[in-house]
Amino acid sequence: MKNWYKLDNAAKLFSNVASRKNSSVFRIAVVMQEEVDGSILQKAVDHIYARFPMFFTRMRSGVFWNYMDELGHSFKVVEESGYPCGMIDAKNNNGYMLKILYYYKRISFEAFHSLTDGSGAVEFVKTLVYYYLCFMGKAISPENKILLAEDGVSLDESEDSYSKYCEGLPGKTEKNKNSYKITGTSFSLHGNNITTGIMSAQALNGLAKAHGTTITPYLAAVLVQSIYQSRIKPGNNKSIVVAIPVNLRNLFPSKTMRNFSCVVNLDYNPAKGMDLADIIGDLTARLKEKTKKQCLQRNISNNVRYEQNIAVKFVPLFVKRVFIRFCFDMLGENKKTITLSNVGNITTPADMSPHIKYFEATLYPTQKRPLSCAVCSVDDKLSINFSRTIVEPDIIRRFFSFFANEAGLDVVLYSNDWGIKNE
Amino acid sequence: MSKCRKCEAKTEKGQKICPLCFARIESNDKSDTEYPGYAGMYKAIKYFTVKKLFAFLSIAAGLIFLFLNFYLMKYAHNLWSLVFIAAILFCWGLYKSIKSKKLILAGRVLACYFLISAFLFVIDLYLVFHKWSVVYVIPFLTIALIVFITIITIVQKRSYKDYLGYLLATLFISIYPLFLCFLSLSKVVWPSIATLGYGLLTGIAFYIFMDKDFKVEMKKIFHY
Repeated sequence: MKNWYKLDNAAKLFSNVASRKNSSVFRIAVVMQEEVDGSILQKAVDHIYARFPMFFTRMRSGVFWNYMDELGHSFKVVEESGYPCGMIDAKNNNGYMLKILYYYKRISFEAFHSLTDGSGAVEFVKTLVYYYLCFMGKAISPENKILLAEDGVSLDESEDSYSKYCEGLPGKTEKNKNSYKITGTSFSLHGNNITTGIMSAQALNGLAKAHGTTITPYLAAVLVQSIYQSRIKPGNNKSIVVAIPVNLRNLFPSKTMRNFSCVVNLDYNPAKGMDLADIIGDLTARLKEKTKKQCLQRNISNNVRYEQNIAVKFVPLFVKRVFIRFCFDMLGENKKTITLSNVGNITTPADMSPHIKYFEATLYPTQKRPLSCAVCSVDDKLSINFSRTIVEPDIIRRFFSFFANEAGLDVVLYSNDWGIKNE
Repeated sequence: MSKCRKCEAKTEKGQKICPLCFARIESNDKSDTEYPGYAGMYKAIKYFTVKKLFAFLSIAAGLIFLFLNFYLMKYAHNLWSLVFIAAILFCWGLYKSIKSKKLILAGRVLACYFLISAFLFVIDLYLVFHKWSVVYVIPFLTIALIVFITIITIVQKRSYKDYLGYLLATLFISIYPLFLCFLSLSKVVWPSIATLGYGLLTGIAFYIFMDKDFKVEMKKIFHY
């Protein structure tokens, strides 16, 4: 196998904009039914290490672009001690850009976003948990739902799908709308507070269907309404913009384990009225339009055209970095109010289900977007994870109160209590 | 499952604080979804450190020098305080570079090189600008830097990939003294040419004597 990888389009962005307050680290975690055994987990990681070579790499600096170089030395799982989605300091992490953590019943996989996206991470975690359970002596049939260590690595899994599927003319870049920004009181010690709500996936799907939509736009609409009701004063005409990462593997025949998603922004102006049905209708139509194949194709071309420009290619990286950071702030962060990432339903073999309580997806907040939301489900348990760097839980309170009190769903909450218990 | 008495939110068994209203929930159970405690991280915060004390003293000293300089302007018509301020900044830069956890040894040395060059240039500028810094000190300091980074790249052969980038940066820097000559900052050219020559020879020597891996690494570093 090749022992180094050029960065894909998204990886180039994340590697240049990451900082302590914008870690670009996300987490996929599994809450098991029994306490996790660290030594068995280590055995599982050692077993699958060679199956995911593109994950066990380190970022190195090049003259024109950074690149990922394989690391041959062993990887150590560690007991979790810090807050979720904190910056991964490769130097203190044996060079690696990922962490595999365990604490009581939870196994967590944290990755720097340059390595992979949610889909790639989910595949990795499924394989990890599968082998963990096998080494624990459980009889699990993989049912073709697991990437097995014995299967060998396919070149398709490490391809740069952005470059492969970049064709056609780029479209117009969306104008920078005046979006509402969530603000609040920072915790006295910088860190991420995680608040999770568990509810029935089927019941939520039923609610969405009753409104003629799917889970993602439905949740986006409830989020917009919660932000409006908690924060926005009447007369404020700033749009609430929900950024939604879209998995491009559903539209393009890619098998890559690296990044292959793009973000679509759904904006809603409160002046249109704040009736939930209206918001759902508007956001559903927008999402449908923006996730058409031609639209996403243009989105990819828009993102890739700059890096493929011959003049840009030969500009030294330290100059490009200044430009990338500026564009990220102006064209990315300034346009969004909140990110809502729906990792989707995670399918595991039937034999694995009795050992798994919940799956959790956690997205990093940033300095300009101090509240982020990620959703995933396994079997009928859907988890909605809010991560925040601000004390105020008002939006989250409003959001979950809607489901518990107005929609009539059974919502069970828990949190890591960061910034609350110790202050 | 528990229930918050204040806001009536249902919480996972063992959750001790309501995530929505922060009210305490009576529970002796251990939650299945328990996270580690963070009390240790909070305890590690220090409000008084020697570093903070020195930062305060540095700012105070800089302001006092500046004030005295302007107050005594009628006796000494130059901005001597700027040299003291430059010295304070130089000391802080040196401290930050040496203590940096992000940089490996070569990176720290490179940072020190830039700081020393800049500081000597400021002193030269203050002392009527005889250009000794640009003509002699910076070129020979550059040669010393190339020698040092060459040695650690060779000695640390197991992790030479980490040092290659710095070596390349250093070779690139060998052009810089000559660049100063072109800016007419210096009319004595030979030290600058010697630096460039030494840098070039080092680069050629590496290309000839290092193994195949070195060339592969070059390909990675210069990929576009």
